[in-house]
Amino acid sequence: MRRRKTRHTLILHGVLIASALLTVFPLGLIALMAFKTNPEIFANPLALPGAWRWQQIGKAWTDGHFGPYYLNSLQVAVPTVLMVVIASTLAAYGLVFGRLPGARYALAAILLGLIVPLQAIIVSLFHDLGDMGLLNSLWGLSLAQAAVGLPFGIFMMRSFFLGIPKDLIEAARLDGAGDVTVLRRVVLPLATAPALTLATLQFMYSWNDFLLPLIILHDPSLRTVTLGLFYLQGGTYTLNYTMISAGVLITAVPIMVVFFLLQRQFIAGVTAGAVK
Amino acid sequence: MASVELQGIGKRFGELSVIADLDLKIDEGEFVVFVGPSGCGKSTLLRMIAGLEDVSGGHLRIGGREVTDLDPAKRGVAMVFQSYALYPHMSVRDNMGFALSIDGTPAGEREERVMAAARILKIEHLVDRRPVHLSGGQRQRVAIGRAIVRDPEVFLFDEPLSNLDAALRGEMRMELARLHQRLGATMIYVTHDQVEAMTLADRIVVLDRGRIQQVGHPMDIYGRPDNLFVATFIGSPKMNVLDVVAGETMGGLLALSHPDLPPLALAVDGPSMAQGSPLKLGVRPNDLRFDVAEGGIVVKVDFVERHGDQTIVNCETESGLTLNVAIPGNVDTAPGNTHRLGLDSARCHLFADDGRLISRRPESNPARSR
Amino acid sequence: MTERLDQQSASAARRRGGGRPLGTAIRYLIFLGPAALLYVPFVLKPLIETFGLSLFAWNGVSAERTFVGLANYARALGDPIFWISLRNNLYWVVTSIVLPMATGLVIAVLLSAVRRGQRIYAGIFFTPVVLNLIIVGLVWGIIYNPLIGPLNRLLRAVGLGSLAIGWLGDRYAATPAIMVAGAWTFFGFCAVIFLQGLRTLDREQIEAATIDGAGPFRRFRKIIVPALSDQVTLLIVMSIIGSFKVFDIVYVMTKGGPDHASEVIATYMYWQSFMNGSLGYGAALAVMLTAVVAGASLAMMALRERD
Repeated sequence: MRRRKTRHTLILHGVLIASALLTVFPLGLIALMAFKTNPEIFANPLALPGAWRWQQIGKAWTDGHFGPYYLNSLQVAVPTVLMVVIASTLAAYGLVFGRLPGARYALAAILLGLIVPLQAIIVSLFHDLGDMGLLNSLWGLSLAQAAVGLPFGIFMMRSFFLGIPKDLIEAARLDGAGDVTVLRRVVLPLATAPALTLATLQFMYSWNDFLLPLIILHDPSLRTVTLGLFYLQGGTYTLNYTMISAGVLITAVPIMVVFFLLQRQFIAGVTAGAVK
Repeated sequence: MASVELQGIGKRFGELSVIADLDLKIDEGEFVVFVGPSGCGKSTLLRMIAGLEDVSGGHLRIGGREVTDLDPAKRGVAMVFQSYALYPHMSVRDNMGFALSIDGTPAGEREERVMAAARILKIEHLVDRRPVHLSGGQRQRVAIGRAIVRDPEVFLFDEPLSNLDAALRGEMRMELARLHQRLGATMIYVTHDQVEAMTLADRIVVLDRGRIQQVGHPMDIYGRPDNLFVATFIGSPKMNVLDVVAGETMGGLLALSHPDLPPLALAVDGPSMAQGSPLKLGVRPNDLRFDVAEGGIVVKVDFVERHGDQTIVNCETESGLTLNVAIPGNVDTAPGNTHRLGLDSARCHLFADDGRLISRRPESNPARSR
Repeated sequence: MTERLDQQSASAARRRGGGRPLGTAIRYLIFLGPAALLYVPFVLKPLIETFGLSLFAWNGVSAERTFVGLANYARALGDPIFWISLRNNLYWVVTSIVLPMATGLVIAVLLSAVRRGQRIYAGIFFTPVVLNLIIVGLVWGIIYNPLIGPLNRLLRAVGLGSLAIGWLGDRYAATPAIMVAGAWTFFGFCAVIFLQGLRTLDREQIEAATIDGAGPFRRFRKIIVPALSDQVTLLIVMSIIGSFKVFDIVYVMTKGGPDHASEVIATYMYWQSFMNGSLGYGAALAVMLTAVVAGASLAMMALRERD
């Protein structure tokens, strides 16, 4: 019995390891390519590189302007996350505990934002941003991303707040706490976990966003990492596979590192996004 | 310490009227219990006094001061919630001192008052813990302590013991009674548990469907229920109720008839009853005499519940009516046995068909005769 | 001394200020103000404008817009590329329901059976979910590359050289090729969702079935799959929504080509609006897309309400 169980476990792990390898195979392949010369790639894409040419990564970093692009991405993502988390928390608190007459109409308007795809607004948004002078601006991108991410943020924080017992808020009211005190001293200390999940998720959305940067940022020096990577392919490097692979490596590795560090947060956030 | 006065208080949710035109005056230092079945409006009433629920009509005064539209925090009331509603991210000390920290009481005084309350409740050793690390009974004490610290004019309790197990509930009940004696504060307490109501209250307010059914001292409520609802709601086991028919009235005695009952006449007060009108006869299980030699109601035992200190025998009459009898100590019987139950006319309660009490002549009043 | 007292009472008053309940208008302003400031100009207004724009003909540059009523919608019905796009979206729906969900279910069942390393495995399968679709598109673009792509090398190595084609440049192969890449980014998500469902599955139920003599396949079919019906519904609706919204991965891999063969509504809308200067038509496409996605989203919410 015991032996059968052990064999069982071994087979199970064998299948899982094989699937895991298959999953990461495309990424591993690209990682190797980044170190190869173009002739090596053409000779045999599956072989190991003749030498670990780290200078190719460095060259891709410089030629692809990834330094400034990383800064651009941060400059967009950080304000976006702050805006979404703050505005969502306030709005969700108001909707749940704010005793706002007609709150359900506000909620319905937010729900609308949750069900319409980005494509529904993109053309008009482009022209509106232009009218406001926010095209070709990192701030414009931040504002647009925050606005688009807001409905989900409000929804997520709201469903958390709905789980806070009403008694707790009433007890605080009786203790003399006004709206601001209830929010600051009772609700916010309880909301750190969902707020962090929301922040993680929103950071990922912002970092990975492609369509909004594509239409908003025209000046090559303003590109985000994601957009910069896209133009690596369409630009002068169409046939330079080393360059493209190195670019993929440069952009993918930090995401993966952050993901593995914050795995629990990420998976909780992404699946909560689906379930909630 | 303050009086609480409710005058014409009403509560409507849209079309639905939950509480209508309710009057009640609670004296300074009184312990008043609101009791009634779930949905009777007792919690709503308490929350209206607290200011957590808007008042749809009428006036509310605390200590003579009009508070009807005043913010909850400004009414001088403190509330103990059924769920305790402790702030999970704060220590016991911070939970108890939260109200003081909001009104700007200096830290030194705050600490003194928190510790004084903690001493009263014997939780000084717990003040640095978070609520998650406390047992149910300890949380309950913290919730009460949070109310004490504020030194309110009126304490409000919303079913505070219902989340505790039976043993702890008994203990906390005594603790609350002691606390009331010690603080002498006005306390309003909501419960659906009649034992809590009977043991804690100076006065009980029995509520049903948003109306006060009776207000009075616990023993008066038990002994002289104003109507059939109060009669059957207070008292355990429940009062037996028989459908009887009014007969002739002769010399102040009203004859009543029921197929299972021997002829019975009660001395009633007031206008005479139309012959043939249906009435309700109520008799408490411990007012029935078990196993009389002759006469009485012939019953067959259905089952026997032995509690140790008393025995409750569930019987069935010939016409299929169920009667409960409570007998002190043990009794020698078994299902299937036949007995005769003695009915003392002085201990019967008579109600009109709509549940109103038909008042008895004083000399035969059941409460007096005991 | 008095100064200190003053300071004390001032700080007390300030603290009391936080204790004051706010008026309705101020509560609206503080709580919903920031959200409204973002939401109204950057989402609500453009959304309404898109509906309006779909009734006009406009090239995006000239000051003049011509009201054309529902002509843009009629134009879609007669536009073969619109139908190709719609058909491709429907292919996406079918593929993304079948491929990643089936793989994810198998992985989840395997994962639920291991005791050690579950988190590490889950992390690996989940990695493609967090990568952005530009990375995904480039990686798979290389896999499919006719010159250096390992896929064609593999086919030739096993003697199927006749199947080695320029995948993304082939009008029939392009869409399936992109969809496989899309499945790669979604199966890990499905696996995690199924795994969460399996965790709530009563272990005793499976044990009872085992005692009743059900073999592993019967247990899978009769106990596990029915118990996951909530997750299946959720993922199907998500697949539908995602399949109609799909843009990035198609745009980066083929831009809808060759000759619009792998176009989906979103890329076609982008092309009409930003490349072809038919903003009114693009808006009409956006409105139709919105109708489908919003309908599916509402269905999903209704399903969740039911639980």
